[in-house]
Amino acid sequence: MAELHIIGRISSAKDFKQPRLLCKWSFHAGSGWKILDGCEEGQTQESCDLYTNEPVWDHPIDLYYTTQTLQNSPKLLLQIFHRDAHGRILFGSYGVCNIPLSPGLHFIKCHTWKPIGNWKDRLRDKFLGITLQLKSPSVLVNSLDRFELLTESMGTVKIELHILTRNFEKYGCHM
Amino acid sequence: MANKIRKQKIAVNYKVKEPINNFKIRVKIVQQRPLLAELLENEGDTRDSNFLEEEDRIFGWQEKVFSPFEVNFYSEETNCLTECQKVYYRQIKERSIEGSQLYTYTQNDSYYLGDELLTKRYKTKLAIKNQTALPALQNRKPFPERHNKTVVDDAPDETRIRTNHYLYMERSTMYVMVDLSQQDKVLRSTDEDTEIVLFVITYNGLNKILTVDPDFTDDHCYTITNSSGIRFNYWLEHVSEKQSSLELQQQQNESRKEIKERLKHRGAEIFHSFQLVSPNVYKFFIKLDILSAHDFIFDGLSISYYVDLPEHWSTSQIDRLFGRTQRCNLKNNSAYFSYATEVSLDFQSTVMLDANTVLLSWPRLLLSVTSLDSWFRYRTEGYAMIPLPVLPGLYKFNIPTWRPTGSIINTLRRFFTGSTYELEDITYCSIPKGYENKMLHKSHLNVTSSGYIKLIMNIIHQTHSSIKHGDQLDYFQRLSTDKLMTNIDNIFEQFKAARERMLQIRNLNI
Repeated sequence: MAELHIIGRISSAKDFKQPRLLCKWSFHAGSGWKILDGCEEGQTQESCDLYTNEPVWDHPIDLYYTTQTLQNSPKLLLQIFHRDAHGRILFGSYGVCNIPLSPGLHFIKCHTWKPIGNWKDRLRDKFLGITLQLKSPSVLVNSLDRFELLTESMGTVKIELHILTRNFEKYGCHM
Repeated sequence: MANKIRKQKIAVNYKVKEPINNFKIRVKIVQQRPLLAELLENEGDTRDSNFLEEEDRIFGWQEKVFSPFEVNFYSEETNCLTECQKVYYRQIKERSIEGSQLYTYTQNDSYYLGDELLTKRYKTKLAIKNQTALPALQNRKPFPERHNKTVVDDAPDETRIRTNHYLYMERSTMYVMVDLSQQDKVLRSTDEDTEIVLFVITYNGLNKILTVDPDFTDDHCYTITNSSGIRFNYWLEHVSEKQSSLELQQQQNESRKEIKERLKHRGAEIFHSFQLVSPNVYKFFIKLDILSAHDFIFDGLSISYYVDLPEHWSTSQIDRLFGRTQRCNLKNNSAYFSYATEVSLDFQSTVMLDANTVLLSWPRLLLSVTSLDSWFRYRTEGYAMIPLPVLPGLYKFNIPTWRPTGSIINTLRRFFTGSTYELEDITYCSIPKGYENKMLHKSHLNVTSSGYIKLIMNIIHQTHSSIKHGDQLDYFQRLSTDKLMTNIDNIFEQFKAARERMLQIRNLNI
């Protein structure tokens, strides 16, 4: 009976070196959560802003969940791609964030990073633009120990979400 | 003239909620009196009776009204070629229709507005391509299928281009015309006065948008002039009948039923149960986002968190109590982690009812920042501690850190080879485990400040649903009543002791 609405947008990106960016996004939730309406994943358009270097996506998000449990609540996984001077679409960075469950408007800044490897990988990254990627990015929504993974900070993504909850109080939940 | 004249004819779009068949428009056209006629008293004589003097008519949506020419034309069977024209022929024969000077061209008539800018009929390239484009239905796939998975198509073929550029053009048009030619002239269709467009109505069925060009008039009117220089005023008035209450009722019932059906369908999908907690357990969910670390010096930073549980607290997922992020190199003095995890803690509320436990300590989040750089030098960069927020909600923290320091040699060692002072027991950064002194002092520890950590915490409480929550946390109220209870218990005990002492004294006396 407990229902959760997530309404909002992926508004813009900031502090990225590359000017032309696009973002693939997907929501991941545990087995107790079921999606009733809306798209779980999508992709923004490619946006470029050479002057402020803050490309705007304004990509809408509208999801409707129902749940049996509070555990493994939805998380948002972002994958940022960019287009280089040769017109290739290259992988940029990853970002994960928890979706807050407290009702209200939330401004979330998702900090993104990219994996880096040894000197050979870094040379390839520098000259060919080929960044290391995870085999399955969805593993990032698990909170496993990732100490072995060496990364580099990239930019941040701004997200605005309105959270609406229903009937959680009935089951003694206080958000 | 007393009538105000509106100079500009502007088209206006209207959103239509009801069926378009109910649409009705009233047109009134009146010949202007010459300016000289103002001086005369007799009205009737001033107008040129050879032309249309005054006419008033109501048109329905796509209602065909024949012009005198059309009546003549279609009454000969040889002229009627298409199905539609044959229908017109029959109509004219059966009902012996007379031509009206206000008449219409509907969707079925092959009439096109002669655009003044163009001398011949012109079609845009897009319009020509639209005709060969795929049907609109193919363009209306559900979103997940529609969105471009391969972002860029390097070599789009013709059909692809056309599907992507398809313009939705399904709309129906109706023209209301007027015949302003001289009545004694022989009927000739070539005369431009016989075909003057008064207004155009376009209806877009998909978006339910009705365009009226020009807009309805209020007390203003529009003017047109025919080739003989006689001016006419005309008014357009929206006269659609309001839906009858019965129709409205029906429509409402239908939509209500539809909504009910949809809700029922939706309701079936919603889970009807919820994982409940047992009555004497308070559950705390902590959604923790470790965002970033700033102002640290060395590369390869990693943050570990550890939730320190005091007595009476437990968790079902012990492995979640400890976590470590990936390592991240610094850029602009900041390292981004975006590490999202969640911890659920249980608190035995029966403990509170036990009068002897007074001290309740709250769980704390301990953080340590470490770095392992490319030379495999391991350094402890900082420690921090925050108590978990008590009330549910979303919290953002900027947590400063510190690290222990030693002599100058240690500082040099730390810089060149790494691995120097670190805490033996991480709980030392809060209240050390098993600490029993009355005063907590850490004066023997030399520390220096380090960078800071940004994190977000979302706290959610779950109690048994039978517990009524008038206040947000009546848990604390209960806590205070428990204290009160202990006080009362104390008083009782003291009273008992005093009484016993009194009895003893009395016994001694005897």
